[in-house]
Amino acid sequence: MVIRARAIEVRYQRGGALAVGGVNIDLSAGSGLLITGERGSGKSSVLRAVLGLAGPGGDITVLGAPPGDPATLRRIGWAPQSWPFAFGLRAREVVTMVAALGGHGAAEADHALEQAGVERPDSRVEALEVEDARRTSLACALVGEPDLLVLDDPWEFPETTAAIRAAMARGAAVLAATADPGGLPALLGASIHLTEGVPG
Amino acid sequence: MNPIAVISRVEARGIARRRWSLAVMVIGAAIIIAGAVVAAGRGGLAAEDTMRSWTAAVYLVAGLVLAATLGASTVNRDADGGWVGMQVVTGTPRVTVVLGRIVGRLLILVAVFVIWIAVAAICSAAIGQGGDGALFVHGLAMLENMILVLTAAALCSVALGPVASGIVAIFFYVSCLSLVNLMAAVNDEVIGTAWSGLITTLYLIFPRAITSPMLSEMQARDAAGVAGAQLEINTNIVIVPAASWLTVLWTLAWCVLLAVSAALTFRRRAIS
Repeated sequence: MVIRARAIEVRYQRGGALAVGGVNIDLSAGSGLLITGERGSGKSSVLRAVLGLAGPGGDITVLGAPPGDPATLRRIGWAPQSWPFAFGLRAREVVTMVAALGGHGAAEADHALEQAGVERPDSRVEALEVEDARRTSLACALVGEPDLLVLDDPWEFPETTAAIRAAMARGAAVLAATADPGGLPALLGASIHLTEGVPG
Repeated sequence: MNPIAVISRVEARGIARRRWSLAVMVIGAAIIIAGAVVAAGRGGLAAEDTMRSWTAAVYLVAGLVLAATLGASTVNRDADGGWVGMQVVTGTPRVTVVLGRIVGRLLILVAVFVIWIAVAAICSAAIGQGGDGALFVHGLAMLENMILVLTAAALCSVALGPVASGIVAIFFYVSCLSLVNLMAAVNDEVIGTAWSGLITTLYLIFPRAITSPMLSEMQARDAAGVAGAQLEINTNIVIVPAASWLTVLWTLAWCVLLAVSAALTFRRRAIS
């Protein structure tokens, strides 16, 4: 099992309201799971819980380790939502940094940029079109052929569906979250719908 | 490559390309050159004082703006915007990520100070004062002070927003400066003995703003301008002595402590 999670809970402040509660996930190698829901329903929080970014509650195991374990994170490809890059950098530099920190070379970064279809990899991130920014985010996730792809609000480019298919074909698992599912439910096979942080 | 080196290089590169950091560097250099032009029209000690006081003002005011802004952006906005999360999800330990981000900002601060110090040395030579070693040492002293501001702002940025982090760090530096001034007043016996115990204790615990020999001498003559007004306590002129090597090392140790504290505090923070 790539992800086994029972009763995921996320609170952003100690003693504060639950952002997410009661979410269970079983995701095995070579399979996919899509989390859907309105904006603010807790989809991204579930992904952050799985990655160990949001200090989750519940019983969660990712690739056999607790969420946030550095050795496990090296096996995960992460494509955050919106515009997560520091201004001043070029798209290629962003992906090369992700590659270098994950123990990969510049050639793997270039390959990921190509796979994601980034048209202007040498543009500064603040000058990118939204579409190229989303592709750059996807490229960051594809570096080094990870065992688990986590995609937050992936735009459904042909390169996105091709990357998801290729990942699942080689035995990687894919966890994605979006408010606009399009053709992703059919591609990923299973889905959970969240309403105000709880499944249903 | 070492992850701290990877992150610090990327962070420094991104910041170096942003307009605000270039603007602070250029404006600072321009004011130093303007000071040299004004100094060239004067003679003797007046020329030397003008060159030094204008340059010292740049080190203090522009240095504070630069250091506080750099340090205050270490965590908060990038952690909420997803950039820090991208660095963490590569499997790089959170402590390493924050230290890399602090080192990247330190590289920018050092680079800007190196440029200002070089411009000041060239200007001093151009107006016939040689390289001005005292002004060079003052540049290094102010660089250490600004490293203190940057690391304090970095620690604040784990919990506070960028503006609040910058303001708190500047107040922290002003407090360290005040402590040094008050300790000088205690040593000159111009403060009541009831306060001297408390001031001495705080002086021994907290970091100390570094006073260079040049600033100490100019402050005593009331010639340092914005960078160091003459200190008067209870109608007595207080001479603030130049910092000892022990003080230099003590404050550097505090910088390391603040940076490490920022990295350790970040371990439990939620990020996007």
